[in-house]
Amino acid sequence: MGKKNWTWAAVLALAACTPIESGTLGNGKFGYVCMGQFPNDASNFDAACAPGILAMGNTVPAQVAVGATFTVTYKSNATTGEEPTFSAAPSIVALSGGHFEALRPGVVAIIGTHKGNADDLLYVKVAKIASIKIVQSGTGSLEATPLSSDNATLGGKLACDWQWSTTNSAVQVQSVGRKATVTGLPGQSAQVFAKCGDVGESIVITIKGQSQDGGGGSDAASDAPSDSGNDAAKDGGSDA
Amino acid sequence: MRKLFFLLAIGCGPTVSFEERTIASQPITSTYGNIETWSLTEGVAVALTTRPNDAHVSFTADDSTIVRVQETSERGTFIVIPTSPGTTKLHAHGDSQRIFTVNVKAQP
Repeated sequence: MGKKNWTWAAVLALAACTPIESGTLGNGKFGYVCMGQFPNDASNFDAACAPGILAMGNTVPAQVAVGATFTVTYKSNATTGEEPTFSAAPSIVALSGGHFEALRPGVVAIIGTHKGNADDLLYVKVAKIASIKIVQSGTGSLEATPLSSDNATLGGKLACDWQWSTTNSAVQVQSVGRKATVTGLPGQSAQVFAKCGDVGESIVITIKGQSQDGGGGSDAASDAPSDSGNDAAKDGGSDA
Repeated sequence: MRKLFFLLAIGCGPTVSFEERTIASQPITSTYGNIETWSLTEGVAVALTTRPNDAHVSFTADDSTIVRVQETSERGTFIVIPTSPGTTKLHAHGDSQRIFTVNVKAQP
């Protein structure tokens, strides 16, 4: 990494560490630290995180998945440094090893402290993964997002491992977490499945290409918009 | 004369009230403040405000595993933390000497 890139990385790191969301009482600000596998993009693992290597400083998601882990920071208006946060109900969201773990469905206040006392709060809903949405996120790229029963994106690093598969051996799927890259010969179609725990979804894709002699994967793309992906799932992929 | 001063001192002492509030985000509701019995939900912490906000008040619960109340960095604003289901007495100390009954319901 060149000197210029390191400078940008430092600027991004400083910006990323700044809590960005005011608490309910206005006494301080909360931040959300994405739990990816550095230096990988944390958004591969946490749907609440914006893409980027330094995926910190995001807004605290309104909903997180049961079993997911996440980290919330707090800075009181009355101080300059970050101070601890805790859960109002450890039986629903537990604090373990500096991270929160969502144990069961419910609504919980995450409380930011100042000098050891509760100072401000933010509500987080914990919900089960009810469905998965797969969308094309770029040329040859797919992205799976866990959703609650009210179709809200569920944040947190999930307890389950994402599993991707395809019905056509001529179409390959390479995945990192909830993101996948599809390659294959032009004209090939396949149903691509994404699964996390016991919830799955599928999308029908067709590889596009200009030449018959290949170059294969790099210009691969799904010609199925997100809506048709959902339709595909209705044809039988959801219980994959 | 001494008795008169004593009575005046009591009569002119600070009168502290707690803002009565009902927060309803179905299926979760919370009712608390200037009423004898508070109804809260496990995990759903709420803000409590005193009038006047410069009164000296602190709280202790008979069972702190059910509810805790802590004053924030903003004077006169407290956070009530219902940690687990159950019923307990909450005692206000200082400029207020009230006792509240707090019922904490489990999450629906």
